[in-house]
Amino acid sequence: MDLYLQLGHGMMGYCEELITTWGEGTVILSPRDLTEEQTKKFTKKLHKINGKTLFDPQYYNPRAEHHKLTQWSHWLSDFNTSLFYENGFLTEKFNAIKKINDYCQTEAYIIPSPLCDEVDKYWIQEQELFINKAIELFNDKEKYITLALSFDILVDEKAIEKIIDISLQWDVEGYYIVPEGQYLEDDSYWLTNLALLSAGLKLQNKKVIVGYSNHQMLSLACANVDAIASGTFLNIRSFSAGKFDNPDMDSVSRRSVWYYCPQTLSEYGKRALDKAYDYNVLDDLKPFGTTNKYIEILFKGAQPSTVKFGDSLAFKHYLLTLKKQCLLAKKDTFENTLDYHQQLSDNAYEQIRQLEKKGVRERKRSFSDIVEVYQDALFKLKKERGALLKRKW
Amino acid sequence: MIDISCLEEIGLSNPIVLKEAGQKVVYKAASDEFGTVAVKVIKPNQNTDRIFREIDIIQNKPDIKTSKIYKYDTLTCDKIEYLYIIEEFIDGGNLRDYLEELGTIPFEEVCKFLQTMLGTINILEKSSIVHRDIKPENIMRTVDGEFILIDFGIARDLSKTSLTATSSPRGPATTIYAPIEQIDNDKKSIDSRTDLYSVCLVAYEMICGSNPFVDGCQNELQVIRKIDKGVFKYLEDKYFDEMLEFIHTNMNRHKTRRSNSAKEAKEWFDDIYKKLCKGL
Repeated sequence: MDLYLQLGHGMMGYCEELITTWGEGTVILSPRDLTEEQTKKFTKKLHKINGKTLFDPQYYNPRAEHHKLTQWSHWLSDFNTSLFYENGFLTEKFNAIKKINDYCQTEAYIIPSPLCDEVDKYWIQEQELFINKAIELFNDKEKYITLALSFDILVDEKAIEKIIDISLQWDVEGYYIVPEGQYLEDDSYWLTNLALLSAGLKLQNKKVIVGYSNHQMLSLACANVDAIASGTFLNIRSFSAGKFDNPDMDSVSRRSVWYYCPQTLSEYGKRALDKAYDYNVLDDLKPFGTTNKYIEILFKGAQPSTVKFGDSLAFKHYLLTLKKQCLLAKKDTFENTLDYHQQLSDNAYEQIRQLEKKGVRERKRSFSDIVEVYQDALFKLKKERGALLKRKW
Repeated sequence: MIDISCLEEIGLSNPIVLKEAGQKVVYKAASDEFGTVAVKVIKPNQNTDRIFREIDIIQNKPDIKTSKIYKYDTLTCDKIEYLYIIEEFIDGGNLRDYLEELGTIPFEEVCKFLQTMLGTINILEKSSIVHRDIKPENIMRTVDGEFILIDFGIARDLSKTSLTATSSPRGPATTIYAPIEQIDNDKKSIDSRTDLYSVCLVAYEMICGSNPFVDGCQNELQVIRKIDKGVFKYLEDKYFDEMLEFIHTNMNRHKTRRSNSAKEAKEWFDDIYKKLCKGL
């Protein structure tokens, strides 16, 4: 499973640096966070360093009034659902999307779609309208249809199965799933259904990319997902349609800096890191095996809160480490992948407990709060989809 | 019931009643033209749309393993007109009787059963036909141990108009062997995965001797609720575990979690058959 970079506020530099380090990488471009001019320049730079792109048109909330989004040529400035059905309107918008994809030299088209809060005939009609228009106009590379799903849909097992069933008729090569939910979602049904949905689509031999993800979605490797996409701030590590209305959401969580400890699948704030330093167990939080330049400063022997480990280093470390974890997340068989994730989560939980015994606790972003959610998803996936995943791995 | 002397007028002798069910009476008889045959005599004043659809399906699908139709026509007996169908006689009994006699069926024979039934629904799928009534009573086991699917009375050609009202809350089905999409008369959801579910449920019953959705229920509504929940005990066997996994998967309450098609299921089971069943 690959990690794509979900472009968010102020992420261009990080993308360039990480892709240079990796030697490759895919960025999902965000019109909410870039102007068309910036996008043109940015994609040119990315291609020079072997970067690839996908363009997300972001029709999640077609009434959104985010100032950057509304400047784009493909945006639905005169939004009215009935306009979709008028000859010419959708063609014009999709031609604009095609043009953007052309100059960005994207790898495939992402067909836009509004957020789904009910799987009914109206939503299906609109999905099919968009797909048919894409079939007509986007005919020079693969097409992935957006499945932007509200939290309520994601916790509704029957709705999820209905989507899988309907999607059998859709002539697309893949899916770009955008799941509404909170960062480190603690609802078991949410993650389980997301895994079941991904598996159902993969079993139709389609490509599946899950956007707005975080390390909780490593579990989706068991559903044979092709890639998850993540970024810096929490508002791109989880999805909320509200962010397309509100430009202020960029600054959410800027106040604290979080260090991602991969073996615990948890993030630790500076207060917890200082405790670890005080109790002489800071090295227990150091990634097992190879480390990276972004976190060297944290483990040089000084008290963590006194060193310059800020957002920038924390974000780059998170994405660099998550990419490594993604690349290790899928094994040669379904059974081996499932075993790996069972062990990964068991070990993470055990490490957290060991650290707690040594006095290091982190309440806000601890995997211990969602370990059951993670393991429930693995269990249900095995029970409901395991045999076919095993066969078609 | 028809006066059996009338059957002599159409060249049949020594008729014996095999079963009387719903709209028809089935006889075993000797035919001058075809040898030993099964004769279905349809009771008067029945809606014959389904009967003609069944005839159409069987006559147009010569590669389906079922009883061949030799002839159908009408005869008048005591001033009443009857539709009759003369079919190949299958020497054996139905799977229900066989199950009652043995209690459970050895895995080796369940292998053979699945191989045959998956072959049949695969052929049906190619012609967009769903049998919709696969159950032990509609499966014959010949004296040679072959399995044959019979009674296409509620089969549906998905390319043709439905004979059931869309507004009907229940679709035609034998509830205890039907998946929830069929019980709910969710016509758009009915396809070969519906038959796949029933075949695997019958296989499950052959292995453990009972239908898991009927066990512990006192009435049909309780059965439907149990089917809707889709909860049943997973069977275990060290040698045949892959076959059980196949059965459990295709008995899933959600059709999207079964194999995508009868073809795909058959390919999957062919691999299991080669590995576990061949040579047994």
